[in-house]
Amino acid sequence: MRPEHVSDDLRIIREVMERTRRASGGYGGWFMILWGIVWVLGFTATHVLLRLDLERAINPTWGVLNGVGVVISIWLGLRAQHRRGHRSTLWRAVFLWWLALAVFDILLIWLFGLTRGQEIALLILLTIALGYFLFGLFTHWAISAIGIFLAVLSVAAALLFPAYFDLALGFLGGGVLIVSGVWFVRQGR
Amino acid sequence: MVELNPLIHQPTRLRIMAALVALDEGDRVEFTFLQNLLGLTPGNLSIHLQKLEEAGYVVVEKGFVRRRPKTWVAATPEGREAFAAHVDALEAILRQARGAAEEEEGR
Repeated sequence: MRPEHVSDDLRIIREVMERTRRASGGYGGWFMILWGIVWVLGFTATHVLLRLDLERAINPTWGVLNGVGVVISIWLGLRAQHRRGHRSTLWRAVFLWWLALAVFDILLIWLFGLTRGQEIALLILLTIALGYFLFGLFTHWAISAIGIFLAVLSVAAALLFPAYFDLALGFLGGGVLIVSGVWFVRQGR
Repeated sequence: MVELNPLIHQPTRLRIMAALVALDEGDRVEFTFLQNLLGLTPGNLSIHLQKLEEAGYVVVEKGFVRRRPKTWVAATPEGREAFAAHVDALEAILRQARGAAEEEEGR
């Protein structure tokens, strides 16, 4: 077999594998768009509710938004399986991954006795950022980059603009998730 | 002497195996997904899948989703091993050819 034919075969293998991964993984972008919207709505609502002295309404608002997010995520997962015809064990891993991080957050809040809203928000945001960073190490570098950006943004917003912490996170953090999601969806086409 | 796998070496089957091996172990794809991804006709894809299935490299499952017949395809562990060995053989040939070319230049 001639070396140029061997090179061709190896190139074809690389291309097909890359195309398969993109085609079967592009729907992950829809999840990022969804949770980006949840961030924008949730943090904007938090900012507005704090200004209106309606602090008690913040947790229920997040509860509803997260609940809707989870329901739509499940629907997106089922839809992706039907559309792409792809059954993946990755879904279970992703679910368990975020569940473990949620439990980790609850434990930390309980251990350190955190009660201030902004402290709890910062802890959750840093955990989400860590989640993105570590998840990206196994999937795509861009997801790790988003994790780093979210961590830097969260700390910077908390230290430099505490009064606008929620708005900054809502629009910048949520915006990054939405833009990245659109990029992933386009990659998958 | 490196040996290429004659079954996987065929261009269409090489692409089919590359696509299936790119998925996580235990994952499967729908027949139409594979067909669209590789731009093959149903008949052509079926013939090649049958040969790969006979060799134990892929597993083809049939079922129904909302009363519609569906076919799913996945690479078996043996198929993954055979594909990896084939890629190793291709790389070895390339290394040998490069080594021979460098030796020739050195003379």
